Amino acid sequence: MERKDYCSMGKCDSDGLNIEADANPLSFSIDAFRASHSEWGRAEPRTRIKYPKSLHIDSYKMSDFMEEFSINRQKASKIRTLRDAIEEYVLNLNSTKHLFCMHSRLHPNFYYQKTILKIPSKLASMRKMKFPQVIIVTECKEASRRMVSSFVVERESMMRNKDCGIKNADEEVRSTESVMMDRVDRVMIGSYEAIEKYLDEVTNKGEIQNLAASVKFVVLNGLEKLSILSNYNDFIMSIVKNFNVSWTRLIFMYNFVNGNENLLDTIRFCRALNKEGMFVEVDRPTVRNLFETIQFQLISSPDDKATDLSLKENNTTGSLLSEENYKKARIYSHPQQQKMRNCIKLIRELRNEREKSNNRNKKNRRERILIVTANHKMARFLMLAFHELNASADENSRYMINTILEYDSEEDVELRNFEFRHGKLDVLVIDWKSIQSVIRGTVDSVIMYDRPHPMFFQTIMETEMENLTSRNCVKLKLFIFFNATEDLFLLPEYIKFLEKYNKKVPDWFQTHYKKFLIQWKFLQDLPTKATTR
Amino acid sequence: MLDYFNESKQPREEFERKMDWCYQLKNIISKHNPDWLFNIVPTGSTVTGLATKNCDLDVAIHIPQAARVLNIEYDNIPEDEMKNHWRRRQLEILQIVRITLKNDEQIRSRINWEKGVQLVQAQIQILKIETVDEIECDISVVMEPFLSSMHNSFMIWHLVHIDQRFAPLCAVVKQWGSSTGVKNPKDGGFNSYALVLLVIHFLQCGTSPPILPNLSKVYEGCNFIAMNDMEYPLLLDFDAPLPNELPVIRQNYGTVSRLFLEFLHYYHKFDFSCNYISMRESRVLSRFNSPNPNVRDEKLKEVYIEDPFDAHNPGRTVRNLRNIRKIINETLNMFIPQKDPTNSIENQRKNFHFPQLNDIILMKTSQEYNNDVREDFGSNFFHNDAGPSTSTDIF
Repeated sequence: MERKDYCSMGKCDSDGLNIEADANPLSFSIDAFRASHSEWGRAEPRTRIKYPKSLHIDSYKMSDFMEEFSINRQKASKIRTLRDAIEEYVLNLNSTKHLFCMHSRLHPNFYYQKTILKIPSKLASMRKMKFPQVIIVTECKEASRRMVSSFVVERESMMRNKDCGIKNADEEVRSTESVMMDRVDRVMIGSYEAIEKYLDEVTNKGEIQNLAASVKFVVLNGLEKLSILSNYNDFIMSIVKNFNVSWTRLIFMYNFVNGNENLLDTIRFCRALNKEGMFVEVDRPTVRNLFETIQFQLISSPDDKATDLSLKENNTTGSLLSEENYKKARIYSHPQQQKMRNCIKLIRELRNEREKSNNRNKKNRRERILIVTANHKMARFLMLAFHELNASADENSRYMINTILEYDSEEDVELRNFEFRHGKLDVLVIDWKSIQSVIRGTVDSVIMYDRPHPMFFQTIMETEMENLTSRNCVKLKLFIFFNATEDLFLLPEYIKFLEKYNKKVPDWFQTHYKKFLIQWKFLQDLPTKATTR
Repeated sequence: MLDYFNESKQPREEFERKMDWCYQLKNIISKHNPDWLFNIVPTGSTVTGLATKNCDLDVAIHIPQAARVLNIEYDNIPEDEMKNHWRRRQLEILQIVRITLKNDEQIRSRINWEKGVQLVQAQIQILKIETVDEIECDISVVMEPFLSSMHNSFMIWHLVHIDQRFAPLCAVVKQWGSSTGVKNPKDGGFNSYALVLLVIHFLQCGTSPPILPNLSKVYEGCNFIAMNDMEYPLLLDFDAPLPNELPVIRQNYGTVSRLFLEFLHYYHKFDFSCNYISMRESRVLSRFNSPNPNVRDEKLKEVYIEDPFDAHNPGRTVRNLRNIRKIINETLNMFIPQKDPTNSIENQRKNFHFPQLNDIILMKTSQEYNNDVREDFGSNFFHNDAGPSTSTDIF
């Protein structure tokens, strides 16, 4: 056989590699390498990570504002997805308002094609209408063709409504599939130019009123390109004019990812088409279920804690704590003391749980615990404190603990991550700025020792928590130490956080929420009080 | 399909640049680590003949010496502990290489420092580098004496030269796989190597007469190609011809396009639940009765492909075989004209649009309309300070 030398690697000889030769363990040591190359300097600290700021927690979110115009306002139960909202609007809601939908997909028919195919066929057949019930308007011929294919595939997968004919207005000839099954074309899909031509034809035949009576919904795609598509807004105006007297409702689809138009201008334009008003719905992404459990641990004020202890003392001995003992109890109940005790207890419980699970499943897996603190001082303090405790504990209860801090070098972080994932490191304590440096898919439990920085609340609690997991990995167990005095203002955020992940709000939140409202009102009234003095 | 392959394959100039990069890498690492005995081995499609333009370069630092030193350092310790020491050693070697790249004047200027040098601590630890001449290189450390990626590449290289249809068929299958999601290991599809093995297996066992031989079987005892991870030649010469002529058999004259259709048909019908592909034996065998305990004990993976040389299963990434079959079915259906209601052959012919190459390799499937959104736009969209001050501004 002729040898071809095009792009040949040549020889690859591994003979002589499988020996120690002059190497020793230090030959592969990063520390020894750095020491022998001191002219290259020491390991540098890592580049500072710029975490995106979360929305100001005291200001009104756009999503909260949009909620005012959602169909949810008219329903007792909460509709979560855009798909469900459109289904509710089309099949159940009795309203003359149009619907404006903001979505993120390239192919918006994902949100409505199943629903439209579910529209009952008996209405059309009873009236023996030759006109469609739904008109779907696309930007161009190619989009129509793609959408028709998609509708046909969807229809074939459904158990019922297989007689729903789908017509492509951009094609002259009646499609094979309609002819084949002798279907009534209940859905018409076409580019706005083709639909316009169709409307003109029907108008010329004097049947526009019949068409208007038949068409229940008109879906207008591509609103994000309103000014780019020539005459699209004129077309929309003519649709409104033709279907004004009937009960035809319009569904506007706006892709906010590719939006060229100013969203508000587009909403205003659509809103102006109907004096009855308009619903606004947004495509909310599916929230990944990141957490196995979210548990809040209350850190009370020293006075409250000391008072609790005093009352307990009273219950057992019949008398309250003496003044001296009360003072000691206050010192003992300092928030840092409470947190430390809770943390130690949590670590012990988590490790015990893991051991039981290992025994049950005949595995040998470590419980990997991440403790997140406010800054590197607290992280170092915790590490030293736990080292001391470990030294005095019995051998079976000991665990390895180390830190990743914002000033650590890349190499140190990599080695700690390695130890955490593959080695013997059980507890990793970090300052919150190092959260992105923690290796993904490794953490089992997270203890939020200090409150998340308010300016980065969502970044830490949502984005970075998600980054700690990976798609196929275990869900996190999250423990949050909630300081009843200092963290009160974060209560609404914690409630939204719990709702987002479909977790129960602790019962004791109610009491603290009332305190929060009192404080909030006080702060809001403050400038008024100043001016009236 | 042949034109597509010829237009998209890696040009010689690009290959030479990559080899030059490997050569420089070896020299610089050796300069700063004179104790090390190692090879810099480029592997993967770059060296097999299946590469396309601008494809990534996979490089292995083959350094069994590091394992030998470890074995002396940690004598008689449990296997899992030794495994950790191995991984740690691999990590430190990569860290040393990274420091070298950052500080050695000769090679430093060749790296694109805007992208930096990233150490990825995944199951396999790699160093990701991009050079200024746009070579995207992944460097891994292999301490086992048997470098399986090199032997796989050697085998594939020879198969590419045995039959000129193999490479174009792989190119089309890979591109079709990328467009449809069949080749998407992160989301439950096949990885690139597994797809190539599927093509090889098909050309060995799915065509009649077969098109590709089992080189390990044909050249057993010639010390030319690896038999397994214990029995293999130390020297691989990509330039050397085959030791002997291949056995002469009846020729298969199928075109690449026909082979592509047959490939789809073969795997559409393949029962992965009961059977697995043995690349070593070039056979389809029963999963339940396999002589290989790794195969018998594997209950979770939908697809099992027995690697030609070592113990791993390249088909392990597949998590949704049903979807893959659906996609294969949709592709096959593109070649079948829809029946005309009037039974007119002429109408059928008129309405049928025979797929062009682009229809296949840029194919979009019905899956696209039903997948969940992967990118989270919604919550981030609303985290925006710009908004109306009052609701009456809009309404």
